[in-house]
Amino acid sequence: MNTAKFFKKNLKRSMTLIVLFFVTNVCAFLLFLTLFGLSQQGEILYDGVGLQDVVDTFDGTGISRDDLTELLQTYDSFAFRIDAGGNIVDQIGLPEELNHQYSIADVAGFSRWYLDDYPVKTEIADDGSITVLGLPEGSAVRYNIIMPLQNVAWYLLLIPILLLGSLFLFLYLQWSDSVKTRKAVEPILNGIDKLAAGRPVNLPETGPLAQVNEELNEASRKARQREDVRTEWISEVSHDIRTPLAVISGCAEAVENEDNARYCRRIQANVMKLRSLVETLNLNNKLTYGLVPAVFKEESAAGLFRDALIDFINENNMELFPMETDIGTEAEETAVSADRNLIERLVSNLMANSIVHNPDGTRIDVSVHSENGEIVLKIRDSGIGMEEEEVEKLYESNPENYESHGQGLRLAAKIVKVHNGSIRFRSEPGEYFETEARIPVIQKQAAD
Amino acid sequence: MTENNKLEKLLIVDDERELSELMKDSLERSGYKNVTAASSAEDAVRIMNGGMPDLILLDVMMPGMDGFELLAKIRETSKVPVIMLTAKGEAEDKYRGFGAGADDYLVKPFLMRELLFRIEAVLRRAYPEKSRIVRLKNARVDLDRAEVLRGEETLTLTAKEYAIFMKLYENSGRIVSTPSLCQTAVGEVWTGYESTLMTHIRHLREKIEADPGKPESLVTVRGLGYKLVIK
Repeated sequence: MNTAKFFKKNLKRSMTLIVLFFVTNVCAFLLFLTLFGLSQQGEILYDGVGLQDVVDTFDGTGISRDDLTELLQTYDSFAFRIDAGGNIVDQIGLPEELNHQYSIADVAGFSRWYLDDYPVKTEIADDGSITVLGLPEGSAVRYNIIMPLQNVAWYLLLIPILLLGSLFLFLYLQWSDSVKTRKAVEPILNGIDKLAAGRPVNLPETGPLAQVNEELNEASRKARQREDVRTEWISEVSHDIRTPLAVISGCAEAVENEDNARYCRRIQANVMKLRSLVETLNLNNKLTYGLVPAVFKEESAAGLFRDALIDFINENNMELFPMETDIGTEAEETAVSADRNLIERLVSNLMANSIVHNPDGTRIDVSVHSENGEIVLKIRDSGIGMEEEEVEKLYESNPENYESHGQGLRLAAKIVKVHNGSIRFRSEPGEYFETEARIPVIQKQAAD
Repeated sequence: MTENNKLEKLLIVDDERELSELMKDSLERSGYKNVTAASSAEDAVRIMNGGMPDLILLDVMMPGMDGFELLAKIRETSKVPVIMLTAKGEAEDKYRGFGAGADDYLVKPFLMRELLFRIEAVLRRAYPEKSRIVRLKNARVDLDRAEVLRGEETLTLTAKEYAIFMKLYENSGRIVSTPSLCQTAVGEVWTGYESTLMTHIRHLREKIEADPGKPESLVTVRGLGYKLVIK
């Protein structure tokens, strides 16, 4: 699985989200400012009435004095006007402690800040009189900003820098998070791959995703158990089949005479075919699930194959199949790393393929040579051969459907693979069938 | 099949009664009149306490004590030849490193004539003094004297010829590889000994064959080795 792609996509999505989030917030903030913001500066008192209305009422032009008084009372506010000399000339609801003459210093104070603790708003008329609208203590905030122009420029510069910085910080966090997640997730993905391929999974049960690892290990253990049960089952069945086969074979042998020899031999041949089939099934199953640990030893290539061939010939009736064996002298001094049992099985499966499917008298040629750092085993019979598409099917190690034909050859291919080698099947129907197995040579033995 | 009664005591240990009866029957018809069958390892121990057989045919998979456990028990006290009846790969999978001590393995199902052959070969190896004269097509070989008897003529075998002949005789009817024959004649190092081996074989043939150019008893299996055919 391509995890990099997955995280790139994830990053893109997060980026889009963060931009959207940012834009939404800015819009909402601006909207809020527009609706309730500072631009009103307390001009509006309440219910659409503001400082201008107070000025108008004192001038005798606006809403009636009673209405204004009622409104100011409702909101615990007050209004007054002083003339240029600082004397109170008019007032509505003015608190007692504020009812005094105001000096220039007082005026300078409250026109910018608070009058005592009351937030106030002032309006200066042309004649020098000042109208003051006072709000209840603690009901509003007045904040005046004074900033050198130079600093404002800095602030304007700082904002994009801060934004960019935040963006980079975000990207970094996102990236480091991805890397961390990837580190944790990758073994899990590999584990799932392994599980699917039927190989054992053993992840460390630590880290933030420990639970997932535990579950995967458990799933692997369970799958393994099922495989073990199945393999054990096949192994037992194949063992149990041997005894009745031995009895059939023995009986056929016991009753054999000149008249029925043909039939008895056929019984024997089929018993051996069944034996081979069961053994192949059993070993194939074990090899597929890695339950037969191959034991590799350094062996003389010639000796290894010679012994395997001799074993096969000694145990099978080969009198009716003329055989030619050519083991190169150079192969005597060539060593391969091999499992003796598996090589015996390889040779016996290839030989059996040639004698089981072909008529008596079919010639079999076997050669073992060392070339280009590989030991090459060729077994070729001049028998009925195989159609090309059948040959192609032999390379599928685990065909979708059970193919009864060629199981032995498929197992041979598997054995060669276990030895890090390669196998080729060639055939011409009616002419020949040939198997060429190549196994890498480990080193040249010193000739002594 | 030979008419001679064979006196060796054989013990078959197999829980499959049908198969062990068949083996017993086959062996008796081949002249082995002294065959006992045990249906379990415990049964076999009881029989062996009454007297050791000359050879044991031992099945691996048995309920209770299995074949390999019994073999280990036998080997504590006795060197009696044992032929294991099993699947080769199977035995080695399960008992790798434990199966040592058996004289031969026979894969089930097997041909009765293969069983007979193995029994004879193992007996020959284990009790060499019991069969002194080997009958070949054109000669007889007296193993005690290392002599070849051809009509009135008596030819003596050299030590090397005798060793090679014995190796072939112990495996008669089967191919013995050239390297293993060389090993028999000279020990571990055999490389480069092949031509010497061929000389020994030629001399052997001159002594035992009617026409050494057309051997009938000591035959060559090209590319693999040699085979001794007993009459």
